[in-house]
Amino acid sequence: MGNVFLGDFETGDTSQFTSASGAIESTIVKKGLYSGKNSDNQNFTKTLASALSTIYIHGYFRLSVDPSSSVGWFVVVGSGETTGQFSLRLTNGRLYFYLDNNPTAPYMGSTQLTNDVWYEIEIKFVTHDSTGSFEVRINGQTEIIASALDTKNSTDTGIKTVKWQGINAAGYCYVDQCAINDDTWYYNPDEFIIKITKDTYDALTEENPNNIIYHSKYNTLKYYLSGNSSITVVGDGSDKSTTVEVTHSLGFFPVGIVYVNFFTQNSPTSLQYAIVPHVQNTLTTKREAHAWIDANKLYLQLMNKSSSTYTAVFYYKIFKNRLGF
Amino acid sequence: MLNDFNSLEREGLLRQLSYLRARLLAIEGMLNGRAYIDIARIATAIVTNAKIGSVGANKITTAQMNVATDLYVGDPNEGGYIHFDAANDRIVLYDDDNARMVISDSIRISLPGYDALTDTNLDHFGLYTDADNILIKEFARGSTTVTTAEQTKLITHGLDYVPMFLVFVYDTVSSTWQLVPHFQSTFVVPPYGATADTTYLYISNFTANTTFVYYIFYDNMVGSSAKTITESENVLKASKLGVNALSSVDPNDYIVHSDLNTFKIIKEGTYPITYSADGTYSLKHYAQMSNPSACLVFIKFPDGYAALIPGNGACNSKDYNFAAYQCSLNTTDISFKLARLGGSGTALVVKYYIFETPLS
Repeated sequence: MGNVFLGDFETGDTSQFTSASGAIESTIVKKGLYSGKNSDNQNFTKTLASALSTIYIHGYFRLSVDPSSSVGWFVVVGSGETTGQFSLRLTNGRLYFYLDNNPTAPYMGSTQLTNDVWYEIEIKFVTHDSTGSFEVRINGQTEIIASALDTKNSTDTGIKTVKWQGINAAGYCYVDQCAINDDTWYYNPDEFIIKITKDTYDALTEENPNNIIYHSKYNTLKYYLSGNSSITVVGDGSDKSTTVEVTHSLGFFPVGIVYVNFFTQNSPTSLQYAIVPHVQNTLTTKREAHAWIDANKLYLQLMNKSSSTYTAVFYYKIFKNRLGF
Repeated sequence: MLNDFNSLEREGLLRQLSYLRARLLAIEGMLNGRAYIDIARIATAIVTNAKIGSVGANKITTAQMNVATDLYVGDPNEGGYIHFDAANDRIVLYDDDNARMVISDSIRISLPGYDALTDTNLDHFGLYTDADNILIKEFARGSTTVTTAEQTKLITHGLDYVPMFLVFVYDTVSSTWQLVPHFQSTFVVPPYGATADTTYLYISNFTANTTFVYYIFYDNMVGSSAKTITESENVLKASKLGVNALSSVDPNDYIVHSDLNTFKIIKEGTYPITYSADGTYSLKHYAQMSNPSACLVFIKFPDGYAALIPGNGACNSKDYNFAAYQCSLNTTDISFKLARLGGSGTALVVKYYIFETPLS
């Protein structure tokens, strides 16, 4: 059947929903002219004519304040004929999926959500006492997934009522394109793909990642700064170290990958390169290469525990990908 | 004579008939193709010049159409479409809800859910060539078995500089994949090692026979010997600022090049970790892959600095109060060990990237 409900707010009121305590918004809109706006536990609720044992629940969500330190921001609540079945909550900026039959063991997502960004969130929920399952997607990508579960709470055999619910904190949670499907995902990210394959491979059919140069579904590492730094540590037999700072000034913790040169044990005249951290221990020496990064600098450290002076060259690449720390 | 004249006239008429028939077929072909015209929504008086240069049997072979402002291919109200935006000198590809690709004097391709016209967070783009946001480009990738009998396998790259490289090993003891650093010790033989020089990637194995996955990138770490590639006949490429994309065949001159594989991130995420005791900490990565093998994991320690956690090795916090080590990956979990060596900090954060796995 596909889509069984769409609450897109384009009527300019809440009449598409069974009940609603949220307001209509006409400025911050994902699609069309209107969206919904929830605050302080307001919601938009749809009760179906009959419960669905397999249900797909979709919505765009956008928060007006930073959720990273807030607790208990409900996003979606699914209930059966008699009682609650699951809830997808936002806590400290990440999604937690709660089964109501085991509410003390939520499943945690790994994406840190921020304010003022629209997120397309969709849940697939299968009600069953042994082969139940659920999957949560953000922007079409799997965020949380579990199967072979008892997802059934009480005697309910499916989801009948869905709430796109507001927040328990200051600010607003905007929602748009509230939809329910019964057999397919409302948003299929594979419907729009920009794919580049190697020469002679058909981009319409090729699936081997070796032959796909670029795929719009996946992020990439993007670097912008490369360099090297030579560090010398005078040895006196004790642990000595020198740290060199490289300023990147990105203002966020970026991905940094560092290599260091060293002489191999088997061929001490051959200079080779290895990823940092790197350690060389012998009976008389200990040499270590370490690297750390923060929002402004890359720190390169050479440690030398020997009686002789030691020099190593560090080579680094700093990427513009945020670690999110 | 009359017969000859009639014959010539008949020949001429037949030629004329043939010509007119060809024209008719051409026009009919164009009309048959009008479905393609129907989906182009052309606003009033925006086509400043349109001409057909030549026609074939069933298609326009050469033509020109100057568009003053907008041309839409596909219906903006019905899902994906292309917008030829002459006013802003750009072409925009839309999915149902967002601009996903913008071609102007740069190329931007956003990830699903993000608008390539309005978003500026680089983490929401797979490709963003406005500046030199360079995608690392693979020279070689593969998987190889290294036996304990051979100890060290040499993979020839011959780039004449030391390239960026990553090596991951399937650890048969833990049945997990691990990033291979290089540790040397006179006291304990490390199980694995990975190093490179200007000619080879060296992969060492001193424990049970097992499989390694490796990536060698054109992107140089040490040295800068110019490289050239033989380009395919049809390429899509975006050069660094100041480089002529029509003439350069040096892979390191490009942000992206359709002959060179990019290093795709299949899944990424962050997790808060609360230290409670020395031991193993695990998180669910939920990457929908049957064979994940390549993973980079960074950890932010309580002292406020972040480091890369290796597989068979350790990283320390900058204040040396913590050690994180033996980071590993399987189909469901990322695991690593923590040891607190001093201080009282408990709040750590982990960021992971799981990359595509080479298929043999």
